[in-house]
Amino acid sequence: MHVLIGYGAVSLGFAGALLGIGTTIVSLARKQPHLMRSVRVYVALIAVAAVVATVVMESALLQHDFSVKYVAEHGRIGTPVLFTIATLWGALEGSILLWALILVGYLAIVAWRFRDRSDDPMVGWALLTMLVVTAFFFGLMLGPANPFISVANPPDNGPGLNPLLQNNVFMAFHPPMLYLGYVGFTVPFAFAIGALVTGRVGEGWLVETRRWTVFAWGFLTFGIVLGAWWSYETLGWGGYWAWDPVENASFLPWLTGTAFIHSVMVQERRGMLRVWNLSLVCATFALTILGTFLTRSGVIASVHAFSESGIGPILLGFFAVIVAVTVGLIGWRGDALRSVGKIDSPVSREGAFLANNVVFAAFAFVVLLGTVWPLIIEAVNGDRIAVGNPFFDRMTMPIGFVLLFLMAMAPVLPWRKASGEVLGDRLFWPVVAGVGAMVASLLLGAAGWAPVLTFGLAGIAAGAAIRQLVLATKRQGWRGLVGRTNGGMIVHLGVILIAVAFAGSNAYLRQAEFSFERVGETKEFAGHTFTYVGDDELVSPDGRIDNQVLVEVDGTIERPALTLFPFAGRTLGTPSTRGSLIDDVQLSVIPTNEEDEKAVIRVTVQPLVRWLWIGGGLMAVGTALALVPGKRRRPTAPTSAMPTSDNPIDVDPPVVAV
Amino acid sequence: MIFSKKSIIWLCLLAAFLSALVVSTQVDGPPRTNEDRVRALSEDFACPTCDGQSVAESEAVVAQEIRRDIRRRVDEGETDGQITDALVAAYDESIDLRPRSGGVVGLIWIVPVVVMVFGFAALAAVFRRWKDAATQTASDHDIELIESLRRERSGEASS
Repeated sequence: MHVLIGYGAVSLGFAGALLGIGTTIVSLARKQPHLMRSVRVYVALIAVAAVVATVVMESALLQHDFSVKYVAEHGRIGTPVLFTIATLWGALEGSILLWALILVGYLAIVAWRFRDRSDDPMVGWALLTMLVVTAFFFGLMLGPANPFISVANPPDNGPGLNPLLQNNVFMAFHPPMLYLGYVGFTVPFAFAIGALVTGRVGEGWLVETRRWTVFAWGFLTFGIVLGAWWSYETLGWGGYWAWDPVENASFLPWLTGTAFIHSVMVQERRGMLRVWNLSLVCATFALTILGTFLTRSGVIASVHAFSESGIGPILLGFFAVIVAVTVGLIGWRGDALRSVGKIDSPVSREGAFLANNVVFAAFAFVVLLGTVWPLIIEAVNGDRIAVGNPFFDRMTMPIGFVLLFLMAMAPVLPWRKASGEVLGDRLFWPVVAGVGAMVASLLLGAAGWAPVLTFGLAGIAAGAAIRQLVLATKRQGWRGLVGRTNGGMIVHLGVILIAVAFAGSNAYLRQAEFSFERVGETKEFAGHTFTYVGDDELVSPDGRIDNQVLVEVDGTIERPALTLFPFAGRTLGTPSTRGSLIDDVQLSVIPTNEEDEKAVIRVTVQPLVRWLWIGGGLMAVGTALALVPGKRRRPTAPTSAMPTSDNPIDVDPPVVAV
Repeated sequence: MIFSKKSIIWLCLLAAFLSALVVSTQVDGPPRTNEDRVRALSEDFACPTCDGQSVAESEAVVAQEIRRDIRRRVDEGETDGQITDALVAAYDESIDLRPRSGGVVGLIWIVPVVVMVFGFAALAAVFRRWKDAATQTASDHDIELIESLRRERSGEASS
């Protein structure tokens, strides 16, 4: 029953998408905008189909209908309800279904939002682009990634979700957040295509999609941070980012998206960088598809990757089509894309944004290169090599410093041209803050130039961001905290916290393995005391067995465990993390082969880790505030006038009239 | 007076910034134990049986064995280079997460630097072009366009 309705809904959605595509093409070709009304009906049809398919799948999962292959392979009676719901995105076919659902959500909102402008060919082309992407994902579900396949002889129970994914509640929330980000970039991409096809490559499409881009970017950021948190809490080796191919796949569109968010301001303000911005938007969308390919095709080995499947070549083909179409369109529109603006001085806000873009592009290039290099080398001469942490750390550290430096300078730089005097005045307190941060960190025992330089630059950057916020709130009250520029500064503060936490936790990580022979034994390490208290066994209702080792850390009992998942035949470590704003103490139980009575515990002491999550939260808050409309200037305001020291920085960039 | 009060303050700030950096390279951090070296080294090697995880991350049996092996060698006083050689000999080159610096593989270290240099050179060129663009004059085509528009306008006005 589930299979029938589910597959029917997917087919209906696919048919709706095809009809929508056909009607949009006819409407655009014959210039009959009234036809777009029926396109909206098809969009509604697709939306209903996507919701029905998702509900059917969730219903099958919750009712343990093992006649559905997906449920038989990934469901299990006894899995907690939250993880049963999350099973939808725990494996390949379901994750495509979630992707399609979110995509259709965006499609429906775009269709509704622009319902009064169906005679605008740019909107028509944007809808057409989104419908094509939708048809592609529904097509995947009809064939190679079909979630609704029936099983002839349904089993009595399934193996359940990969235990690694069931060990932490973050896993239930991280993928939907990430997908809201990935898929959200379809909207600016669709409008970029619309702008290219209609030749209206001015600033209009940017203004239409600005909020959509920031919205998608915010969710992508939040999803990545949640993923890092999950990794930190679950894997128990003291790490939160391992430059794993799947992590990189989510990081790549984030990098190009971040570059775009900055460079649009140059275009809106000065009318420059048209080709570059269109390329960035298209690259961001293309990279989300490339990421989907990398994580779902089995070409790259990763703990996070989905199982191998036949959809790899199809996704790669789709990626190639996207790249070919955008490169072709940009080439075709080459003339119209010539910049109209000019730049006065490299030492200016736009100069900093341009440098930012070069660095972000280089960052994305390094990450992409490191991710695919083993594939390239294997194709070239058959060698099997590995590229890991050491490469990424060494290559990205200088890039990180340059970005931090730019983040310190850009907010105090005026548009057009900066004089030394203005810069000196504006930078004074930020630099005092930076030097103060360095001295304070040295007094607290920091060592090594890299972390101390990070703290210094972070101090300047924080000073520059806070300066902007203080000036804005003085002038506008609470409105000084909203709008793109001010919200952006709060996002900067979040990034700064993350940079500081990253530097501190990497540079001052301490790790040790203790083997406790008897109860009551005490060890001292990195300023903490550890006492072995005993063992405990805990059987959860879902059948997992926690073999806990009780260790008293600074007076509190911690319970790291080895968790046996009998239904999956696997044992995983369940670390315990005890944190403060100063440092985190993470304990994991190391399995021992011998049947003797000793307990082996790995202790990881890492300062400042908690600030990563606080910084991530602050980035989310800042993004939300950036989406609240700030003060709008009247279009006649002399916004591009030469700034002076008593007419300080621009609070909110103007909306360029279309 | 050669220096203004402002520039003296700035020189002091710069001096403080630089001396803080110099001090940071001189002070000793927390003592680096053998455990810390094991941890740092184990991040440089891939666990041979796990999908893309390093020896430091993985709880697989092989990863634990390699960690124990690194531990033993560190305790015996071997250098990082000796340990790397031993592990690569025992397993395979694909265990080393640091791509080697020679041959085709080594390009991975050079290409990003070239791209970065190229990127900034392009940026500098673009800056120059944009500056020149400020003195751009109208092309014949532009003038012709404006003329034709003017004619149209005056035609409309007279009719």
